[in-house]
Amino acid sequence: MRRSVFAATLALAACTPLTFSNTAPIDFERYQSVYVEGAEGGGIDISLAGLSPREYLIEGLREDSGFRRVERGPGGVDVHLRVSLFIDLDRGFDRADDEYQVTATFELYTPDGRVVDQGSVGDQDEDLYEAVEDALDEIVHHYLPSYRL
Amino acid sequence: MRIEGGRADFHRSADPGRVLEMRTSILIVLALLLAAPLDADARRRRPKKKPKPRPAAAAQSSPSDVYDSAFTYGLDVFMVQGKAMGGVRLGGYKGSLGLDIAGDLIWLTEDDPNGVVDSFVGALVGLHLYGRVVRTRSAELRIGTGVDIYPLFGINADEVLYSWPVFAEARYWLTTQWGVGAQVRFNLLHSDALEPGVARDGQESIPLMLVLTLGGRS
Repeated sequence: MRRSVFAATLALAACTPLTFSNTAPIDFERYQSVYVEGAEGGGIDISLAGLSPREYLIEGLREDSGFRRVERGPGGVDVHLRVSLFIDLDRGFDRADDEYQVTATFELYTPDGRVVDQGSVGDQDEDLYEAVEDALDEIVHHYLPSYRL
Repeated sequence: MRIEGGRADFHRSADPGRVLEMRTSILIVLALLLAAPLDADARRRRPKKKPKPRPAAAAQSSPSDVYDSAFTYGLDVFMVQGKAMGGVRLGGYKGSLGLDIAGDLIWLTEDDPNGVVDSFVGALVGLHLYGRVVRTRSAELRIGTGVDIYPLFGINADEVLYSWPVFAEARYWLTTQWGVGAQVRFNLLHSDALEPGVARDGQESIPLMLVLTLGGRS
């Protein structure tokens, strides 16, 4: 009896589908190209693997986001992505305990000023560059395309 | 008179408690002497118990649950539609409880129409605690739970999904060290983006995953 139940369960479970899915926050068919502005380090010279934060974000969006074109100039794009970085330093008892809190706010708007999407992401790390990088990665992650795999 | 007096003296001088102690000792010795042959007879009449098989002897004769504690290892293959999923599992058990850590890789076997990934999707890392609820000489049944983490770095480094699985696994030991197993896994909780039992086109079926294992222990 026990064997039969187990065998029946195995048969039911054989080749079950498993799907990974994501729903994009915007319609990438409608908004196919983006111009990235801002993402400056607030006067701090930040280099992420040799790239400025803005360049790093552009590269990330080109690689993984649902936008087909990610531009450095504002001409001929469907939307603008404005990113602002806010950096706070939480001082610890000694310097090794210092932590950087990086908040990145972003706003996606059409050239005529209509806001399509907005949000805020953040990261905390002892290393400023690491915190900035992770916050920008979060923005790229936010703009992943829809998929069903 | 002297003797009588002596006797009288002896009886008078003897400690009554000591006499009682001596009498008790004598009675115990007598009882033991009488009981010994009876006990021997009883032993002769009593049916002989089956000698317990020694682990080494059992191991030579047939596969059996000779390892009360063991380091375990194995290869897993997930029987899921449209994907090739498989990897390794390492762990160990002591008595009825065991712990496994599994690492599997995930590829698509069907084209992605949106081109989000070429083929490689990511990985599955599982940490599972299980109980060996049935143990016979050549087979065992495990039930367990744990956590499954799906880092889908084929899509994006930050794309990570989670699930809380429960499972039942039957394992048949072909030899004392090597066995095959089949596991049925059900996710009690999971990320919204993880859809067990749901096909790409949205068609739903029973959300039980089958995992086949070739495993060893030492």
